[in-house]
Amino acid sequence: MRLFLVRHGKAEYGPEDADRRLSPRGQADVTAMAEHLSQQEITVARVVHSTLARARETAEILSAKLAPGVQLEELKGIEPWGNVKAFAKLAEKWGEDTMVCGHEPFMGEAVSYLMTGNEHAGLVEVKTGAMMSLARNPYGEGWQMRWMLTPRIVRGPKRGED
Amino acid sequence: MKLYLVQHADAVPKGTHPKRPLSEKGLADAVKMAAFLFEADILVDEVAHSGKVRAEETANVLSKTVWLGKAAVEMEGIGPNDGTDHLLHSAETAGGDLMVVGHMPFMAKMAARCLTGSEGGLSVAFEPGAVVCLERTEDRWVLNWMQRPSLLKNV
Repeated sequence: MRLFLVRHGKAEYGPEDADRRLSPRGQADVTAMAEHLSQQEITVARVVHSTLARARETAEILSAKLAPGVQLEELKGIEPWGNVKAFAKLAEKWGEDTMVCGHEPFMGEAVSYLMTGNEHAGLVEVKTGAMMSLARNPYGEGWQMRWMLTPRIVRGPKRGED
Repeated sequence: MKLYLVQHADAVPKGTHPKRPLSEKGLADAVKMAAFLFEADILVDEVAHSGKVRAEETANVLSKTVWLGKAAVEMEGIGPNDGTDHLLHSAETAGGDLMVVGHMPFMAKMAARCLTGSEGGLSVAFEPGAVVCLERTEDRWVLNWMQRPSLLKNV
């Protein structure tokens, strides 16, 4: 079972945080990631996103290429300050390859917790539009990192600046 | 400053050739990774290898795009079963970005050492030809990105 953890693309500013949409740059970054992974024949069986619009929009763009026909699921508790331990317990029960679209600092803390048992290990600074693939560690406890890509790496620096 | 940890690409078995050069697949994977690094505009200040043929060959293919085709240099202390102190010290005192091509289990231990302080602190799923980019921020290392040949089917 693979877990694909994604941080939403760059978002517009707005008065209501929950309603903020992706900026044109954010849409382009996420679209480039979707196309890159689609060329590498990555497919996903389930797609979940947080309750915030920018995560849902990110999930919509990615799922169009990587999970065609899959119904998106909204998941509470993975907002920026969500509970990573509760999320880890949930993810352990998932049997299908699942993509999760969420936020910082939640995603960075979730990866740190899944890989080391310490959500404050600070393993990654997850940039907007970045995606990580994790699998259960075949040699022991927890999860292992399989790959991690950012828009900057997938698009090249001229179009996907940090 | 960045540290790129690379596991040498697929090599032929000892029985085929005692020095274990890259296999056809290994060479193709290294070329695909070099192309990926080129597209991502990755440049480094040095490419080093362990001295074993499979690491040196991989390093020289990647060097074509990331180090202007210079011949990769041999580095001590990055053999398959070496400890991580030596490379950690080199990386933390290096003036620029360093790419190191070596072996398992050393590379996985090095990634874990940088990120958690302990060689067994976490598991990064290396495969032959995989590249892990670590970045040194103010006072610690973070994982920046990681790419693997099996995710480069169509390049």
